[in-house]
Amino acid sequence: MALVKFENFSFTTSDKEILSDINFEVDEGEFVLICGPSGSGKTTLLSHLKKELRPNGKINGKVLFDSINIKDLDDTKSATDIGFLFQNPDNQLVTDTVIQEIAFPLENIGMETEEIRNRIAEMTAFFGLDKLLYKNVNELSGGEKQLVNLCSLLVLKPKLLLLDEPTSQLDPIASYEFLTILRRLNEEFSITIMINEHNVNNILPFADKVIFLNNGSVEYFNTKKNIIQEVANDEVFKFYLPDVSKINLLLREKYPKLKDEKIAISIREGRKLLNKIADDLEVFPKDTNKTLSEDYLYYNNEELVKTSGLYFAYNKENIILKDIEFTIKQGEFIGIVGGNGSGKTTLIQLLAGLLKPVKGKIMRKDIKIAYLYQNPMIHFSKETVEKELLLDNETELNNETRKLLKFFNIEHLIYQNPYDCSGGEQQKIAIIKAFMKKPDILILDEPSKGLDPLSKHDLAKKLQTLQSNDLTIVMTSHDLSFVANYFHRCIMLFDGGIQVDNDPKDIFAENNFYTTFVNRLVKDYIPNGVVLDDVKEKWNL
Amino acid sequence: MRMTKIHPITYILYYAILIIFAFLFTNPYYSLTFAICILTLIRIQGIQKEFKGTIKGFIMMGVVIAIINPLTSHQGVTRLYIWNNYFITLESIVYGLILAFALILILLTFTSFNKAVSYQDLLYIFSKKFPTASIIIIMALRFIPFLNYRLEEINKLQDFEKENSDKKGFINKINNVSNSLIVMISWTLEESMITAKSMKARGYKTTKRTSYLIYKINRIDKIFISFIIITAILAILGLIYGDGRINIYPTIRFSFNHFPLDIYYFSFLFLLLPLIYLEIKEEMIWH
Repeated sequence: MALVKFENFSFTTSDKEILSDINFEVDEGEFVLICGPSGSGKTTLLSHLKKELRPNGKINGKVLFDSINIKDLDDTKSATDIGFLFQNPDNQLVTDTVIQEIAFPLENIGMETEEIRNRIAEMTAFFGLDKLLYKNVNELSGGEKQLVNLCSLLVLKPKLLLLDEPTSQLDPIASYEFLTILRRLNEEFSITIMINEHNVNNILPFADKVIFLNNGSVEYFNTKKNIIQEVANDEVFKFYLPDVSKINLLLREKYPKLKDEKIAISIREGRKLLNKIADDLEVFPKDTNKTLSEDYLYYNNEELVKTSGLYFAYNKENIILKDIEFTIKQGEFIGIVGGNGSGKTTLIQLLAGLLKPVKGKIMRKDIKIAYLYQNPMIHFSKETVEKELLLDNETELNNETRKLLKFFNIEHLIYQNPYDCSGGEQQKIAIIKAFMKKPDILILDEPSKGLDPLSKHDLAKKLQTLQSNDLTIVMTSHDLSFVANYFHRCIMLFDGGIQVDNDPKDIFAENNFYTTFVNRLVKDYIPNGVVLDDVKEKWNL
Repeated sequence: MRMTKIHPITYILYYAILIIFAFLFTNPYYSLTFAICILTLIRIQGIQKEFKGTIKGFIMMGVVIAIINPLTSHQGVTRLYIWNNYFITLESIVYGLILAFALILILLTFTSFNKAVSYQDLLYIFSKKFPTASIIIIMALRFIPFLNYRLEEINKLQDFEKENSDKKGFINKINNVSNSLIVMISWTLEESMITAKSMKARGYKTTKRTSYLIYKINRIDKIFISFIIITAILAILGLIYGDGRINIYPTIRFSFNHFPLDIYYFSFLFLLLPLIYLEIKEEMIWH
């Protein structure tokens, strides 16, 4: 019997239809992945499964949980049986210590103290959180916070977990760990999971079924293997396939003998298929490792920023950056990568001048620098986008601003509140705002975080266009394939210093673990193949 | 982590008695005994550092009270003329001094109380009676440092943008501050919608809240409570018989030669000792 059932469901708010004609069933123990561009109604779909979170509007049709209409579900049953995890790890924390946060839902349902403690003991041992129990939640890393949030849902012993882009704010390692725990919960405890996620490379191998949502209706709903073939030529959803499957699909076109094989989703399956056709595949030698020397496009450009012997720390015990020496040249597109807490944000804030170095010097030419925070919200203080973008003494947007709005395709937003825009749109508004200062260097902190694949691609293209018009761009990122696809220079931070400073493709070709999915797949054939285009070009796909 | 677990109720009872006694026992010998014991306790509790910062403020306040009392109160018979026929009385000077001293003692007792009873202990007591109020306090405890951090970030950005623009001056400074606050408030309000949803989604307000905190009344609590009740009763009996308190108005009746070495004094002294004893015992484990 189906645990979750949508029957002819549609949802309309005063001005538009958000969801229409939704029909699907999810059985107990299934792992369902929901994908779709931002604004396609993914979050709304999930929130209709949680009585407490249903948005206001007109509902037609039914949503059933355990054969009971969600709206008739008992309060306590809804709270305990259905867990909902939100996107941002910070906002959903309610209390100050880890143990209090985990106990919070149990206290809410009036459980006896002894039973509460039993449940906490059990859960925290499973998650390895027992050492953190009395820590202040503000001191945890993003991954730990999200784990605490998940733990505080699981103590209620839910049957269904709803997760709304839970890893979009986490770095790749933390998000991988988080997804692994979800997989365990699903496999070992048969908890039904429905998850919205953009990061398909990591998650699709775990999923049973996939829902592709666009403009409020279910475009595709099938098991993962079938759905990949269905959407292979879809204009929107081909972006949502894992890299392994994309390559697999291309190879199928060229090598018909792959047609009978099942489509590959994980690296393991992908490599197995490559081995099947190994004789037909051309193997390339590894390019010798280059450095950023004469043949580097920007080698002879003017130096805009130069640092020497930069140190930064908040206290004596923990030195964040040690002896940083590097230069930014006119026109470069630099990506800064590195693990959580490796000092990426600190470094770019030093470069921008938001922080002052404890020791060492930063020489800047007479230039203007614009800095964009990770969370664009910090840049907004007005009621509408238009007011946000007005210069002093202006009553109307000037032509240049209008051109930028047009360039970023967000003209339709000017009368909206910036807080009501999606993450990608907010990012673009903030960039326009920064751009109006006519900076020479644009510094961005994780602009690709939480964006869906299409918006990410779009943002990268826009940034590239700006860069080709003589703008220097420096940004941090966790997204390796983003860096490999669009950047000319990549700096990897480790242990407080610059570990590598080179072309991103060379860096990832050298790495075995900290590299893109494409590279992990084709390493034995094309050692320098880091992004999909490399593979296409080398194998003529 | 402490090895001796004392129920917060026991602590609250004990410190409440101490605070009342600091007011009631005005005999300098009693007050001095009190001061020595409470300072010893603070020293053993290891809070001299925070204490050094606050004690200056306490003493300043004491001085102010000691000065203001004789200026405003003219009770008492021993008149001291200072200017023409304006006088102050010796009694009100002494009374002011004693009052100031008592106040300092109370503040010291509070400092020690803060160390002995954590806010979580207090919330435990509190949450049984006022579950909603206590969850609001817990939320505030998380939120305030969080907002502080956020405001710092916003200010950092504002400073950065100010450096890059050529607007200076006082009006602009005010504008910037108000702008920081606007950003922080609207940002935080926007996000607190999600906090509210997260609370609701986890069954907040479905039934009466319980608490995960667990405290048992142990043998040590029973001994502790009986001990302080017996000593407190004896000391109060002493007070009734005129021991431990001095009369100031209308005339001071007190002689330094009369040291009150009797059962009442000793029960007062013993009342001050149990925590010192327990703290020392705790320390001994590690040496």
